[in-house]
Amino acid sequence: MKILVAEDDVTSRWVLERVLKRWEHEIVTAESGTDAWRILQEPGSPSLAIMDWMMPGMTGPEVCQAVRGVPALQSKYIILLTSRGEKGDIVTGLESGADDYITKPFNQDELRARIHVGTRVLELQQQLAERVAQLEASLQRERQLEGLLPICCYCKKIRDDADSWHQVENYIVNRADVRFSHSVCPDCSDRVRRELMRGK
Amino acid sequence: MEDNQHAGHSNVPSSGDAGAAVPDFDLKLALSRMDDDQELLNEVIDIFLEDHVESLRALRAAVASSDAARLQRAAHTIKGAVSNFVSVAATQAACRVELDCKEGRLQEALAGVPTLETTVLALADALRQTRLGKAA
Repeated sequence: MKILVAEDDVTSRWVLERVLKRWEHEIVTAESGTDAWRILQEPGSPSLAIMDWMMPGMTGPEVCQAVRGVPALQSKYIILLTSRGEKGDIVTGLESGADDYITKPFNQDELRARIHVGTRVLELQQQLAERVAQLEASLQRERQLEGLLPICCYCKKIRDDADSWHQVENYIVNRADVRFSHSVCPDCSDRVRRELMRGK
Repeated sequence: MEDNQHAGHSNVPSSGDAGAAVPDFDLKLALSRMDDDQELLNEVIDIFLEDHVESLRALRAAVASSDAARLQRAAHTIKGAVSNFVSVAATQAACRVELDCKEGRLQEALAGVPTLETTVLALADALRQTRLGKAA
């Protein structure tokens, strides 16, 4: 997973970078809150960010607030880094839009577990988004079968929203989970038989 | 709680207590936090030895400007760096400066800076000796 590490202290940043790389994550680093905010707005930016509380430019909570203010960035998972003794600030951090926090200096097992939680949440969000997209597409198709359908009085073709005409069975097959098996009804059977007899 | 059990330091300097710094760290605990990766710990020590000069320069610049926000940030950065080595004295000195700034006590914060500088330099010396000892 691609992870953003935003930390102005070079020592702590290096520890995080090394540890996360060892766990086979792809790391992008930022030395200030302003840089972190810029990176998170870029296309293909990391879905998960580990961010220090206090950084030059914007603070971690300020970046969280900015991220939560942009609908396209809502799904970013942000872990705030706090120091021991700053626990009173944790509520503020979570209210600013952070998803989780970890205290510095962090224990590696705890960090791994928290990243695992973040990864799972992101995967579930992704699955949910795909399911919603499928359902919306399905609903859209079904909506096309509701209401008034323009049909040719003679050949019975149906006109779609793009002004194209389709055989009725093709129109329905493309918009509903149905298939047609072809047969001949008794009325048509009689008619066709009479026509064939006349033609002899 | 974890820090106190392992470090066992009693000589924690107070704000303005510039001469009382004792080099302290707990590399055993630091190492265990890094998943017993000695190479990583050595790298982190080297980075700290290289970077602490710049961190102290930023601290002094913040003092010169009497800018509480800048001083708070500089102390916070140092706190993050020294806490990697479980250095109780340096971490607490940084915490004090940071907290004083945060709570609007700039004069107290400024008074705590010499202690912070001394403890950071002492930690750097001690870590340097450790690295030299290992290399020898």
